[in-house]
Amino acid sequence: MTVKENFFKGFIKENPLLISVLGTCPALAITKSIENAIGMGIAVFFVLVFSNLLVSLVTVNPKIREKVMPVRIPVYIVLIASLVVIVEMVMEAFLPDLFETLGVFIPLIVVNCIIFGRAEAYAGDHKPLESIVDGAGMAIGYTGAIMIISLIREVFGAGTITIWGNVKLDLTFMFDFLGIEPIDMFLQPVGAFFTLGFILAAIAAIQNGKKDKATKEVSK
Amino acid sequence: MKQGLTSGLVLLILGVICGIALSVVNYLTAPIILQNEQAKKYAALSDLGIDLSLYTITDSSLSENIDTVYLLTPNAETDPSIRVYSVTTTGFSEGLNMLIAVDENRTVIAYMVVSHQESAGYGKDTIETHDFNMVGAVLPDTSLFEAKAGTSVTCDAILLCFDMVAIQATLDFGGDN
Repeated sequence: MTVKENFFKGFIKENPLLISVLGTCPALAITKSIENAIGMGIAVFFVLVFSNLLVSLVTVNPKIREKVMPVRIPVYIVLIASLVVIVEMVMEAFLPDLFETLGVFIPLIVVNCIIFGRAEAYAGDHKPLESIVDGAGMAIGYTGAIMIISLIREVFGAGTITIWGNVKLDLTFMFDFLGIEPIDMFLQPVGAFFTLGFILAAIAAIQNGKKDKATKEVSK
Repeated sequence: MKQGLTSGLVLLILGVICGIALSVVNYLTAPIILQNEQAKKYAALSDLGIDLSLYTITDSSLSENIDTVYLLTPNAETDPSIRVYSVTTTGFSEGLNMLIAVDENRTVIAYMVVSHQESAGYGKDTIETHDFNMVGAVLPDTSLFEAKAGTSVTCDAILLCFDMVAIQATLDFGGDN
């Protein structure tokens, strides 16, 4: 696999949220605004890239690997937990509002399946640089996915797009034009489930369509 | 046995390295976090119209009703010290919280309702628009208090806040009760 393929596979082909359906709890809980999604994405990016790097570093040397492998699960947990605590402290110091909004979902990155999954499935068997590229691609793919969910929920639920702080697009004129109110349901948990469900259904439909097309071509 | 020892050693070394890294980050971020927390905590005080930059603020917990007392010690000796009482009582609903600032002479210099659950239209409007005329009152004298007709429960709750602060201010600053 080339570096480019390794990087881009997390965007669509192996997207952790939309294809592997990992890390759904924060994706459903915090996607009320694009700002939240960007903040969560930055946190996941930092933790995923560095956890992949550190896991790769402690397993790349055969002698160290031999000693680490019997206790690799606690080792991964210690590394990931330390990185998450660092993110938590930095975010609380420099982005206190966002830290408050994301709340418990920042510490819960420790048990995010994406982080642990990439450490176990990829970084433990690959070189540091490859692991960094994989982590970056996966994190960007995850961030993109939660940004799409946020965009749909915020536009339909509040009629706004909050990019960061006061940088906000007001789209309520669309609702005024249609003579309806923003649909509050999209900002509720049920809206998150509906949005993710429809996106997953759309992806499944596209994949099935491609499979059918390929099957027809083979049968011809 | 040897394998177990090696595994323990690996985890110990890793734990020490991670511990040091976390200590460094904590050393760098802890003062900023504390500063943010204080700024947030004291944000309500600045809404009282007091220039907080002139004072050193310390706070302490008191009782269930007067949950916090903020002691504003002036940076310049010529200025009087101020105590701001965060007092909570029950009006039409529970959780009516006020900040009442009192100077060394037990004179009310400012007050505000921070949060409440009063009913819309009556209690809520009274709290948001009515002047209870207590600025300048020397506690424990609350005879200046002006209630609003038709909202006696809310006004009684506000007056009770002043009465509780009057007792505490007398204890804190001295004087006749």
